Amino acid sequence: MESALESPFRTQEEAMSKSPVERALIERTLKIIYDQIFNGGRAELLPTIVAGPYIQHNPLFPNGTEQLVGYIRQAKSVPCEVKRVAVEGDLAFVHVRYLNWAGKETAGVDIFRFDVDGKIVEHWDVLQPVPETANNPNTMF
Amino acid sequence: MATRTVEEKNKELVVEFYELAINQRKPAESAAKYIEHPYTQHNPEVPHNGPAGFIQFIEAMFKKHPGLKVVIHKAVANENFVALHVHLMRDESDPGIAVAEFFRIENGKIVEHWDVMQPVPGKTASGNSMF
Repeated sequence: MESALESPFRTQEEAMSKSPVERALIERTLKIIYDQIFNGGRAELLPTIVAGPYIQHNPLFPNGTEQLVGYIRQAKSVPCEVKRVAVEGDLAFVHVRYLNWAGKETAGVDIFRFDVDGKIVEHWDVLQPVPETANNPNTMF
Repeated sequence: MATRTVEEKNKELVVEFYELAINQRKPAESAAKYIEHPYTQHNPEVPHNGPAGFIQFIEAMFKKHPGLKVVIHKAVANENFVALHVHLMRDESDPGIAVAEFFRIENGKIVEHWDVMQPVPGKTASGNSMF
């Protein structure tokens, strides 16, 4: 199975030596993103919580914050609810309900990598429009 | 070497579950070993909660896509959650699907699952891959 894996078994020690970012700093940054920037529409705060070139893996956005700031400004705000968060080392996975992403209720997972100050250096996401009906009795959240 | 934490054990368990069920083509064996009721299922396409719904869904995918495989790019464990970032490919030439998974673990078994999926595009604005 090792061939199929990159490095999911990074140990606590390795994670810590690579980045001793404190969890509280990550949580503070996440609160700013979802409460103030997305729900509050305060796009101007985005550059203050990013370090370096902001490496972007969302396929529609280039690296950097400029285009994302423009998107939030134009939309006025990005209404969303954070459902659950998993943080380990310098990575956070955030499961989010976007109420109106490109016109649709969307289930998303944002993944961020942070520097030692809790600033974002890299972002990945996976976004799926919530279907009208489900084959089981549960929601996507 | 330090004693493994519950979080590290949870991460290993989820990665083993995933590998055995999908890359090693043994969803029933993997479900029996790692899943426990109620296994609340939040993927809207899976027919029902519990291990049987999972097995049925994965076996149907294998029938449709015999070359199906997954590559785990990131795995994090936090309290009783494990989250994965995965590239799922249906065959050799498939650009594939980006998947993010959340699992909830209780007493060494997976009891709840959420995921989101998005087709990987041919091109990205940044030139970076989705992973």
